[in-house]
Amino acid sequence: MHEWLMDIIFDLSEVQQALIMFGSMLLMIVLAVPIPIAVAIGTAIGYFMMDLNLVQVALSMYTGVEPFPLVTVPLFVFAGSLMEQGGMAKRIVDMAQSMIGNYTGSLGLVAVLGCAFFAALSGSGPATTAAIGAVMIPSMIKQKYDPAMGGAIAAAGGALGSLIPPSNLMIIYGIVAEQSIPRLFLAGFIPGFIATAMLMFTVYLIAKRRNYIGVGDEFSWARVRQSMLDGKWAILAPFIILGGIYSGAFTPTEAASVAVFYALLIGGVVYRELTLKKILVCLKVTAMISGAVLIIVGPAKAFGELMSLLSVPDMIGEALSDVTESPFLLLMIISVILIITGMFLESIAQIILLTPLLLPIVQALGIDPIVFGIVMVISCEVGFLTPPVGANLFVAARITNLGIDKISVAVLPFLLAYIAVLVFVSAFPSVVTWLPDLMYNTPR
Amino acid sequence: MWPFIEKHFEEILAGILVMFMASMVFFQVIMRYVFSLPTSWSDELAIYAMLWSVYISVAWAVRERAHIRVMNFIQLFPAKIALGLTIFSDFIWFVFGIFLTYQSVLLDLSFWKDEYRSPALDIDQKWPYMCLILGFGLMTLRIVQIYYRWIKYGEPLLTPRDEEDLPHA
Repeated sequence: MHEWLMDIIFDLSEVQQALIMFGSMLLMIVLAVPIPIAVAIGTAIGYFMMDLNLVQVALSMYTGVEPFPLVTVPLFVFAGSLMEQGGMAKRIVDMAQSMIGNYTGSLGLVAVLGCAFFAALSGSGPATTAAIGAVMIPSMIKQKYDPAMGGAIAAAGGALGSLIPPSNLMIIYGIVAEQSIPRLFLAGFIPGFIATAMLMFTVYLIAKRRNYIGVGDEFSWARVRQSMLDGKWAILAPFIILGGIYSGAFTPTEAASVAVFYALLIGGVVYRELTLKKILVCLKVTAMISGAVLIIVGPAKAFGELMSLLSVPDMIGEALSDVTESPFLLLMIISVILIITGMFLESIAQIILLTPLLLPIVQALGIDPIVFGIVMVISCEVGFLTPPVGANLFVAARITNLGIDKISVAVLPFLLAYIAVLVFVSAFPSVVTWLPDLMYNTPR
Repeated sequence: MWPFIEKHFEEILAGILVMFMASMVFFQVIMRYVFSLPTSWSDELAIYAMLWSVYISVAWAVRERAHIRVMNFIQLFPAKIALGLTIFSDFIWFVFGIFLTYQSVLLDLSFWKDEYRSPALDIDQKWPYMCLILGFGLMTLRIVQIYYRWIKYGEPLLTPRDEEDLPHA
């Protein structure tokens, strides 16, 4: 290495070093280098500028994936996938159908409600879109729904998968922010409920305007009872998963493994829909998430640590505190930032990268980390639904055989619904903390 | 035989590891509630299984072109320039893959020099850390393979080679 180059590098100020790291990562992302690799390149450049041993890059890749709670994520992906393939999704849709009955826009409402139910089994947004969308999108198209609208409803409903517990994004946030995962799960309930209601209201308005009439049988309690009886094993799943966690019987990780074997048992033995071939598909889905998504954890964590070392959070915090002192406005500003970055970053990557930078700032203004976690998750959900990197849009596009552009236009009204929830939660954070505080009897 | 290994090596290994990971965590629940014998070693094995499955899947995801990358910016350019930029970004990836493999080897060698054992299971850490070498080494080879088959057989650069539908993530 040339002496002069080294001189220049070691003369850089902290701000300049941080900007070079960030800039090189951004350049790599724009050049279409895979995002985890781009983050790792930014990190490696950071280590180099700080004259640290580059073996650290490899070490961070290993230690990032080492925390035990992380095992929960692939396990929930696997369980959700098994429940989808094993026939639970279908029964959940039947249940939702019986509850909605014959009502304006009933199929769209059923799709959203089905997504909300499936979200209580699954921790992932795209998986929920896939599970419910595969059943509901074809039937919506058959009832003369605009196919793009059908895809948009499934994509928007699927995003509930990350808000209604269990949730992979909350697990990741809990690990990075060192917050209790069961507490985060509880915090997601009420916002999830509000979001479901908002989405259903949006569907209703659209259906009314476009004249999507109701189909199916009239609502009757007998039918609800019958469908719930048929779907009893699916209803039982969230009780086992969440009940196990809150009674203290299982850790979230153990609950995820119980969910895997429960899904295998119900799908394989009770419903007899889970063939070996389908199990292999589910294993593939899980491995795919591991290889393409979890790989980001190590480099992203190291990147965040280097940024803290260069006191970037302090700098951003100072800059933001000049703008506002109000927690609500700060959350709004951060949400806008998150929504914009979420258009380009995969959501797990976004949470790992940005939590260490933003959490100290919001905590300085007295915002509860749990509330911030929920705000982050909802922002990520909006990211699921915005191109170019919107996972739910891709899944819906594949099911409808439409271009992602058509669906991303149709999904806009639902984006507004999520943004309304985001504003509501930021304005009234007690909506988020009320349930966990009640459950644990300890308002902090 | 070789085409089968080439096609399924990573997915079979990663699948077995995922299954093993799930079983280890579940095993612990069973031991605690059915036999009242809490174990701690199963956690550690589950973590190793996750690490290995993640890094083996990294290589597999190259073969299936499943890595998450933002193509939108380079696709703003005319097709020929976009192709050139794709090749350029794959080249950066390839070079960084060699770098990562090399650093992983150095890291592992350091564990050969100064032995480090895990507290719970007393496992010599040079073995689990080898997942990095295998994963990044295979990842780099898979990139080379894609270009080799692109030049030799005209196979696509950006979509998976086999038409069989990929599971949605």
